[in-house]
Amino acid sequence: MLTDKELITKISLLKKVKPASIWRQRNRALLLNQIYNGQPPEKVKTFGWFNVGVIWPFKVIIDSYRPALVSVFIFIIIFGSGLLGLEAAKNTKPGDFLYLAKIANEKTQFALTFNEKEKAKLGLEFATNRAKELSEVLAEPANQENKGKTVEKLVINFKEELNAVKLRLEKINIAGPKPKAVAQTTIPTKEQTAKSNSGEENEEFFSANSSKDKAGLQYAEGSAANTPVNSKAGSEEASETKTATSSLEQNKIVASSTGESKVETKTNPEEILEQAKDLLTKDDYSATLDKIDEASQAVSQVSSGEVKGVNESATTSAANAVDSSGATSSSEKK
Amino acid sequence: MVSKFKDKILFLKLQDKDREAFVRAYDLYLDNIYRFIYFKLNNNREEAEDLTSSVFLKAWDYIQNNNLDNSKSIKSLFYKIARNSVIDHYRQNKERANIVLENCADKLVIDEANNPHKIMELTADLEMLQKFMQELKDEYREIITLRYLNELSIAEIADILDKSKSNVRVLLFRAQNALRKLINQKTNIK
Repeated sequence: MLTDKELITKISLLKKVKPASIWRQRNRALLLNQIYNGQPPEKVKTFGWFNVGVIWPFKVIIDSYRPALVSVFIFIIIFGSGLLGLEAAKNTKPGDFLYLAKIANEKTQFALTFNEKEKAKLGLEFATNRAKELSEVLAEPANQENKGKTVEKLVINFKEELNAVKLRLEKINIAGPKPKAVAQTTIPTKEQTAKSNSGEENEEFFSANSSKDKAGLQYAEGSAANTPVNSKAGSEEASETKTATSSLEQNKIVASSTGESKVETKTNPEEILEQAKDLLTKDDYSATLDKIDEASQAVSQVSSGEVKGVNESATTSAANAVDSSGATSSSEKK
Repeated sequence: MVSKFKDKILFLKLQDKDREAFVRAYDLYLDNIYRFIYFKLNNNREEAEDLTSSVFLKAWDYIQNNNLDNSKSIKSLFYKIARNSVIDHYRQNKERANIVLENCADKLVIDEANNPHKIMELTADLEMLQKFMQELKDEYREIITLRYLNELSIAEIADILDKSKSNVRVLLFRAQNALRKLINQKTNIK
């Protein structure tokens, strides 16, 4: 029984069947004659000295690689539209069409970051985004029910982001090298002011190396008095200090002409978070944590102000309406 | 890949009525087209020569008069025209049964020069194989010619015969088996 190989070898013998060379040459001449009908061949197209035939290879290359070129083109379109979509999604807020894309992008960015510090920075960035979205939602004159729910969700998300960043920073702070000492001046508390007035030097410098005891009190290293300074974590004085420190926290309730109340705060969470990012870049984790808490407080004030504002607006606008009607009636009477 | 590239350049030049391109295509494909037609016409040399000439003329006219897609292969074009020419030839000459099996031994061109013994051996083998090929079905003969004599790929054969690649593989397998069976039968008888 013949194997495949033997069979193919046998069949290959038939390759020797060829036309006669005399016939080949005669036939070639005959064909060329018939094709050109006795006319001379056309000249090769030239443009001056440049042979136009050079263009053919490009045409052939494009034809040969057409499938690859098409797939590259499709890839560029998909990738480009994805990038454009992400760019458009940057300034969206809850309820917008591309908001989900924005959230998905944030999650992807987070998943692709492996450095803890970078993750903390990203967390701050996302918290800033939530703060921006919150301010945009608050500025909307939308129906109150949905707005309240959206604000609530945003605040929850914001606080979650900040908590995650805090945990991360605390881990880095414990695990990593101590951050560089940064001199900070604080505005003295009432006690300190009283003491300074009495002539005692009470100017204290707090470094990033200041330690905290279990009660959360901060002790400045190298300070003469070594007086405990209340941390912002616990006491009213600390909150006063922070109030004084920031010197920006003033809440105003401004009644607009439409009767809606707006809580206008000079504590901008976005600015605080920007400061926190700068501190994080300088590896000042303690101060960053402080700023985070500050931002969290600011957002709480904003959101609680909005909630109160909703209730107050009805009463305020009603009161204004009563006042204005009273004023007009009194003026008319006059 | 390079041969595909050259094929496309040749195609473009033929579209531009380039004489040298025609001569080049003629030299490149003459032997294969001739062999293909020769075996399809049951080893009839004169008719194979006539049809081969007409194939090249038809191909030239077809390329000039039709705005063909550059992605087509000039090789498959020649084979398709050759196949259709044979079919037309059969339709015109319905007395296919009367085609005499010529003694092609003295008319075959064999490349072995100055070795009479070898020539005799080859001639005998060739004669035998040609007889076997004639006894095969048309489609089996065609596919064996395209695959083993003209050395075309499965994809190219599928394009010429307008079949799928799997069909071509199955057909080739059956053709091989049929030829093997024939050879074994004849050799066993002897």
